[in-house]
Amino acid sequence: MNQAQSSRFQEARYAFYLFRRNPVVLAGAIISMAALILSILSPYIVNPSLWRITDLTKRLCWNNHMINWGIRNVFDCGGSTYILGTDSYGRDLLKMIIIAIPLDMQISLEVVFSAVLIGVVFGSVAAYAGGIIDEFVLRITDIFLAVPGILLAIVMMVILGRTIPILTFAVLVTWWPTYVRLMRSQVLSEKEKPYVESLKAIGAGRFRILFRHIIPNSIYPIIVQATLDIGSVILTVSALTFIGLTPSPLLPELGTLASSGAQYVFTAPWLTIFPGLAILIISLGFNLLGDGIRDVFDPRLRR
Amino acid sequence: MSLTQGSEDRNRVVLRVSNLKLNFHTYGGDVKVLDGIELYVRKGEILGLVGESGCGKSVTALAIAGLLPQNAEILSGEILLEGKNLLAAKKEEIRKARLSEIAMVFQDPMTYLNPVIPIGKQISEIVESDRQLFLKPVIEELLNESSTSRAGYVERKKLERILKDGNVSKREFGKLAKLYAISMLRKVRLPDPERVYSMYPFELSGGMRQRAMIAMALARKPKILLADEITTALDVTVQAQILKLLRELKDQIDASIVLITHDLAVVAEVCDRVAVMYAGNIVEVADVERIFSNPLHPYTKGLLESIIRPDVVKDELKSIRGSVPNLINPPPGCRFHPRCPFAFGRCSIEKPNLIEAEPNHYVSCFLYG
Amino acid sequence: MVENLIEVKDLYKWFPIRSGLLGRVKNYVRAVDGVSFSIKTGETFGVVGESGCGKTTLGRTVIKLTEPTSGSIIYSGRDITKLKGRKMKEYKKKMQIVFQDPYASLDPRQTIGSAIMEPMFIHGLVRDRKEARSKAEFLLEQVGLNPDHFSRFPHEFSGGQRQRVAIARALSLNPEFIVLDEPTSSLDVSVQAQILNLLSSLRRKLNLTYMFISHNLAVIRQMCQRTAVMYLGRIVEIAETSRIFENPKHPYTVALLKSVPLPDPKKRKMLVSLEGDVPSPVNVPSGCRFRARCKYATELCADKAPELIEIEKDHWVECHYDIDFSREAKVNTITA
Repeated sequence: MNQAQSSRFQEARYAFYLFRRNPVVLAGAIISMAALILSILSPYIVNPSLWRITDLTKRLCWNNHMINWGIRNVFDCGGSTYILGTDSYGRDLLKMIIIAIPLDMQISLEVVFSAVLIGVVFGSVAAYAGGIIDEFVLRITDIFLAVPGILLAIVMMVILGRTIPILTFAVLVTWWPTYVRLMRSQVLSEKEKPYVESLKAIGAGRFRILFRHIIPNSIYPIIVQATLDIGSVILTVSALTFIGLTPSPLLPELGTLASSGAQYVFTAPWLTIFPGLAILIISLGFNLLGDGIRDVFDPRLRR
Repeated sequence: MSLTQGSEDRNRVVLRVSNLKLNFHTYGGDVKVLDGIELYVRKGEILGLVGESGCGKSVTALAIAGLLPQNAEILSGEILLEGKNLLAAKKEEIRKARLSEIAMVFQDPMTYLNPVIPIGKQISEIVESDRQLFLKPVIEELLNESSTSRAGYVERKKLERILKDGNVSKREFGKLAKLYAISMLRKVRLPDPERVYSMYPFELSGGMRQRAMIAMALARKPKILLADEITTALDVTVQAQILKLLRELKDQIDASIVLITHDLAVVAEVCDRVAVMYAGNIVEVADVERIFSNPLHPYTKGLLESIIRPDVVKDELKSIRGSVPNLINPPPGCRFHPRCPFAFGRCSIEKPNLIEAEPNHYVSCFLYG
Repeated sequence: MVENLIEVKDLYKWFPIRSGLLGRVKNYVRAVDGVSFSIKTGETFGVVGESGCGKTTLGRTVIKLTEPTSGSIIYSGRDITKLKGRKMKEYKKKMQIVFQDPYASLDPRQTIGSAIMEPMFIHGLVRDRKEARSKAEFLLEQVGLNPDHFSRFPHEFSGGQRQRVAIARALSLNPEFIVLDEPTSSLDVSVQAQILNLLSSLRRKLNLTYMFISHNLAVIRQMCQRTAVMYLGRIVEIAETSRIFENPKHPYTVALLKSVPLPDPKKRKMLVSLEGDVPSPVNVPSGCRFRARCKYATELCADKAPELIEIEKDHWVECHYDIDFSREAKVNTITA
């Protein structure tokens, strides 16, 4: 299978070429990779249980003399250095952010992965089976799409409780219908292509056609959407925690961190700015990467 | 180049393309689409531009019409329309030329018609877009028509007055433009043109749409009408109708027609002269009878031999060996040499020029000097 | 050996047009509207007609790629119209199809080798991958491709080469009957001839029977022994191909032949023989469906639909009149 490999290798090289020629996409790829690597390495960089230790004597410190916030009441706790200062519980903000990133990434990846799975299964089955099954799946997604996502998540968390799994579940509930819709439309257009008919002509069964041919050919837009959504889910999750739907105000989670700093925004602006920046950079990174992947898979740019 | 010194018909040349080289930038590399096109079009003739897919015939037309895609880069050459170089002209001149001197009709009319505007309105909008430019042709056409139709004496007088004054209100011109559009639809033999005027593109059949596209092109009173594979998507019986229309229009309109096609039978049916293209070059140009009776270039010979005819049954169909080269890395020298049964040493080193092998019969091949 | 490999009797294929919330059937597209013919073992049977005449649907229905609305299809003496599942699979193996567009009829993500092996695995024709591979390589060679190309993807090939791959794939099941649906229409002139030569030599070598569907009369003339002319879902004339071309009996066939341009500037003709367009297969005209465009049409044509009648031996025409086209006059009524 040397030649197949060489063909595939050429494809990959070509994709990499498309990637490389666009510096913005490259930046996106680097940021996303960095976020993933940071999530994996985080426990080895910072002790993950550090967030429980509060020391109110060191609250709202700013020892970094590189940046002058121009605010009178900036405390200097001397001695130990806090590059990004300390938060209102006296914890090192930088360390909290490093602990927070894997948590946000984990929620986001769980939501997106489950949504993709649900979308691929239900979307493709609905489109391929058609008829009543299709109608049924469509109407259910309609119901979920009709309810405002954030509102639904808030209600669920208020009723079911504020825990991380429920937060994840609540976001997933609002997230999956778009994937079903997307996959369904992809499969609908793919199954009308002539090669599907030529597969029927050689006697290929429905399952072989669907799983071996149609799904692999319709998955690209899903991958693009998923990459874009990793950023969007992080945004949504931190929005929910920012408005107070967090298991604990102490929890190192980007939205919670930003939220707990909100009341000190005039005395200690770093408390909101840096977690906010982290959210911004990560979601921007995945968005750029998604755009890049879209370019790579865009048939108009291919041979 | 000898073509630019064309022997007897220098004065009748409307359009001349010389040494046109053009690349397409793609991610795979630069595609050398046109490699020094030499071409001229005489007044009032139908020139057939034939070749297989990817030979650059459509790109040549797009370059003439100024409709090249973003990734195209013209490396050298001139496109002279009545002596004026379109590649060097000012923006305003190019706009005018595109609006009123060069018109193009495409294979798939549905792509080029606006689906939500009635056919007739799309035609009258063209002339309304530049009242100055189209006033004269519109009124002349209407006068012409009123002399043969039942339009009254008063109408004629009014038209003549407008023509003399040279100005007309926007509203008045709108009315005239509508009449003009209807007369154009009549010209392409659409039945009941008044009704077709207010029909939407989807209400027309393929053949009728193609007629409407031709009407739209003719409305601009072009000097050159570029027809790119206009019958390819049509059925034979409808194709026959359109070809007949082209032949009839040739005598009625003031335009030269460049018919771009891959179908040599269509060329034989309607063209006066033929230019054969291969891989970005014009390889042979001659009168249509000459091309078919005495082809000189090996490619033309091969192409003619590989035609499948409905009137002759052959035991073994002939074809040209190999396939069309990839124009990212075209063969050196003559681009046809890898497939040519007569190729010799020089062919792979040097590129042959288009030379006049017989009077008015041009060929680019070293077999002829 | 059975003389007629395929017999089609009174075949209908109507596609419902649904509309509204409940998907009620409003009307039908009458793609194939009562067609009967037979294909002899070993011949190439041509089907010619303009777009929308139902020739493609006919080809697909004959090999049961789409289920017929009514009528019967008899393959080798056995009625396969109602066969389903495992029993049908046996016949599907014997009947293959090559499609028009070689760019779209192969899965873009599958290597051509895997595409050719897939049918063998589906039907269990090979014991293992190795055997499949050697057979696929043999097939590639047989259709004039380099067996080393086994692991390449379709986009690396030209249109002609892809069509060869499609042919190799159809051959992988050792079929007896192949429907060729416009196999060369999207190819260039010089390549077209190569593919047609390949198809002819394969037919001789492997004793295949073809149903050759095309709108191109020149190709039909080269390839087919017998030809059926279709118009708006019905066959209007069937005869030996030479008879169709030299002595056509249906006014539509005559018009079609007159419309074909010849690659010879000395033989220019006034091409136009038919005005107007093909009517929609949804609203089929009453009586003879060609009458609106037929210059010989009479009241009889509007009142009564003609039937396919054998006017000479093996020459069937669906027209009320026997028209002498050399003098352009109706000779006599052949149906009443």
